[in-house]
Amino acid sequence: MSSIISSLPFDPTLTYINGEWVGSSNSQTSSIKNPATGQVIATVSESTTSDLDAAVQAAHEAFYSGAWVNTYSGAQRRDALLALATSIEANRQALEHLESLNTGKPIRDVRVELDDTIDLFRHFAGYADKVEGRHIAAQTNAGLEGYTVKVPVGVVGFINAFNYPLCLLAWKVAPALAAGCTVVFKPGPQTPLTTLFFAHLLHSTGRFPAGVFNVVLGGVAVGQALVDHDLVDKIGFTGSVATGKHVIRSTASTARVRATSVELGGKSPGVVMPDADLQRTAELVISGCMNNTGMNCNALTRLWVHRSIYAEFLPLLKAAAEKIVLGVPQSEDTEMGPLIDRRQMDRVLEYIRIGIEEDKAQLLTGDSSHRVGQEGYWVRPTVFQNVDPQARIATEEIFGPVLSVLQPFDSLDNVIEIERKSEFGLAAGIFTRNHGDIARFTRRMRCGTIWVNNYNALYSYLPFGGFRNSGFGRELGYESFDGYLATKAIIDDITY
Amino acid sequence: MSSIISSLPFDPTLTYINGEWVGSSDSQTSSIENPATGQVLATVSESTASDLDAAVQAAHEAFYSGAWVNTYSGAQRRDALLALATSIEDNRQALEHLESLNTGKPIRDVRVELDDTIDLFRHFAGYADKVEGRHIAAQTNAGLEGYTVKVPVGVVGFINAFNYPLCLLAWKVAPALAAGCTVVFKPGPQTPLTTLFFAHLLHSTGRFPAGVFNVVLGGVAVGQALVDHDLVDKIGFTGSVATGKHVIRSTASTARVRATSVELGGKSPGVVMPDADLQRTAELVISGCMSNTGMNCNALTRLWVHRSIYAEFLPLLKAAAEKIVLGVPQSEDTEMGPLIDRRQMDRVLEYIRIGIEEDKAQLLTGDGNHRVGQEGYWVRPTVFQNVDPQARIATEEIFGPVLSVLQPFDSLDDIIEIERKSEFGLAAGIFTRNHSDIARFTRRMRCGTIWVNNYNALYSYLPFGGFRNSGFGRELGYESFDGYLATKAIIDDITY
Repeated sequence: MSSIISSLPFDPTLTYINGEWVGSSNSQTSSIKNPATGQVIATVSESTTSDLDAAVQAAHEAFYSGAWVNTYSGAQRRDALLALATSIEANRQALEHLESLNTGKPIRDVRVELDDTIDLFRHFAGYADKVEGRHIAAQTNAGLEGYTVKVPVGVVGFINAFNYPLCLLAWKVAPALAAGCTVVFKPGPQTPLTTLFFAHLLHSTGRFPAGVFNVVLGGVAVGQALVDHDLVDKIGFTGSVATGKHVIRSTASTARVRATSVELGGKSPGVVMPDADLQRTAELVISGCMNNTGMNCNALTRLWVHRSIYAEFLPLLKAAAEKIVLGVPQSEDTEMGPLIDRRQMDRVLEYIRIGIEEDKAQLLTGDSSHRVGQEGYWVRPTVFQNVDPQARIATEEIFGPVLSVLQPFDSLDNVIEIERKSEFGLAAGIFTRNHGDIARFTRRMRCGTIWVNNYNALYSYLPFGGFRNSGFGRELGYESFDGYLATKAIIDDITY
Repeated sequence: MSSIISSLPFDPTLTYINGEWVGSSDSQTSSIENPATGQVLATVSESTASDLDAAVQAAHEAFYSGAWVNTYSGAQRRDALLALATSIEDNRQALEHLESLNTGKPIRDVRVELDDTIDLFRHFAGYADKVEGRHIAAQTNAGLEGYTVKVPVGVVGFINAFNYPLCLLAWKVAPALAAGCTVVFKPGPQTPLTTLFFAHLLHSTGRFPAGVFNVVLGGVAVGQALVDHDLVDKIGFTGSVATGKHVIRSTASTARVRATSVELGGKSPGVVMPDADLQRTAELVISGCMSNTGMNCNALTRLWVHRSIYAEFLPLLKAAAEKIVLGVPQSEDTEMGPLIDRRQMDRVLEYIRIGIEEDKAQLLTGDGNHRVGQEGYWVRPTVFQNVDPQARIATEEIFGPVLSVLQPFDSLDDIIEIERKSEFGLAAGIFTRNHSDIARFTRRMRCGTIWVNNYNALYSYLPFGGFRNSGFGRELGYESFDGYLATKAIIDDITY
């Protein structure tokens, strides 16, 4: 394993700022673990406030000098991003191994994430040469010409989560760079390695001027310095509700207000109707919950099952959950990996305890040994049944492999009314062939993504994001590209 | 004059909540002054926190019941807004007189504002039946259908400024209602009257279900209750930087995060090049600064004049400023009215004092008597010359009839570099026939609106808003309509 680290084509003890590989300005470091074993696999630098300032200044200078927007045409940005996509593709095996090592993700899952990453850069590259304003015929005054000009918002600061380090980097960075923004990117503190590899590949294309993309490493302190920096024009944040609110408040507590786009998690419901294909649905539901060991903002974590099929369906769920193969992430047979670190594991185990002892919920799977082994951060797929829809495990985001099957329901309309009042509004899924039920569900549910007869299928082309406490703003799709653009209006009196 | 108040077709001591005219729940009232005379002209109610809650609950219920979005089609919303526009047009004289009385605006200016108001409702009515998602061909997976659905963001809370009470209401409310949102609207505390008249006309069309549009009255306390209310989905704010930051922080300090769109003011520069038509430009500049007595977020308040024309141009500015006719607002000859209240007047007089005593700037117009008369809140158009670009009067927003003509300049490129670093980024203007200078200026200035050879020409069709501390989000234009929509993505596995 450590041969993966020792054979990296870049020095992971450095980070990438202003086109150069630099250490922390006060030599701070942090240890990166392999969550499958709990062992330290690498040491990386930890950026200081002055490193952060250097990164923002570099991104600011790269933006305002026009190096990425004026000197470069949209076509050149497009081609730079295409070259980067090809480079990621050419190095995908090394990226897959590194991501699997750093996160514990099964190698088969990481391959899909690399497919998505490459696709995202190619997809958004295709917008880079299509930044367009509109000429508006001024009907009210024949002497005026008016048109809009779309410009990049400027320097974008990203605070990424740990659950999809490379893939979520692509979600954020591909449209931002395509739009002509420059970027300061902070990966989750546990998962910096593929971000650094990405920076190496970007730099190696030779097509990204210094300062266009910068990486800072660390936790709360560096993140705070980033959101507090007045030269950052917009903040993109993925993380918890509490931290997201703090980020928003920070953007309005410095000399200059900054705009934000935030994705803050969810407690997404699934609904199984009487005519569902029960076996297929059981597998889709379990995968919708347990994928990425449940560390997925849009995970299906509370399930409504119609009373008429409840008794028949639950054993299918149990079987699907219990057959998930946990194992060494790099094995082709492994289907689920560990949680990302001890803190997440403790949190998940605590929620299982809350479910059993406080919510008095009944387990469908497993016994009392929810942790697997003594090393690494492994928790079994866990399913509760007959859960009160108001129970803590049914309403609070656990971010682990825990599914609450709620008490049986009778009326889809009642379920919709309940879910529309949820604190969260990120995603939902329905399983049925009844066209009328699908139409009603997709129309009335207020959440960013609604899956019909599938779950978690996402691709670059459709926007993703929240309502209510799941946040605002959209990633993926044209809407995300547009979010990195600002509008100027030019009004010209041609009679002068 | 008081006959205008006594002949109003509605009771101004009440406000409009949930389709009914109601008083304040604890009988609080406030006095509304005529700023031309300082005399009290009406008494209105002041909403309590529980009135505010009733308004938000009404807007929430009207939204989630589907009364405005499902039961009503886009075409019905369109026709409701068209009926409202016609009703505003039919009652425009009464609205003009009321607005002029409440704000001191010259009657000729108010006529233009009524033209804009009517135009805004007709323009945005035309979007109500054009809310469109997109079907996205899923190239990566033939079994998936994906499409977006645009839905209204929900309940929108507006906090309006006092400077264009009816016109800015139209900016905000027309696109929000067209998009299918419901509204809770708080006018500036000094200027509620035309908002109440508007509510009366809206109600009288009979086409707006109860709760779709609600008015709450008051100052800081009611505004705070509005931004703190968890059932408000988005806040639209026009006002100062300090209050705007407070609003943003409030939206991230309650149980639920809410999105915001904020317009926070400006210190917009004009640039007069050597080949400008000096007489025409002098008039455009003075009007660009003094229109609405300078109480205009995008007022041209700092002027760069090229060295080669400086001596010739300044007397033209002086003459244009000094010939502005102040007088009874209702007179057809009056060109400029008073400031909105004593507080604004004191602020403006203080800035003039700062200019003279602290910035040591030299007056171009007038003598020591900047206030006109003893009653009402009248201040003369005031122009300083040869002002240091860093002076307080040249960098801080005064919001009154005060223009700073800066020290002469030589290089347009230097000006652009200076202005790109301004705290604000709302608007700018350039006066020249040189095509390359225009191109360079419009391309490199980072502000929401750039006027070429005119100033302040705005119309419904082009987006308006800020960069930097002038805020984010756009009003007017398609972009504003889109800001009242949220995106859902539906992903459907058709192989199920």
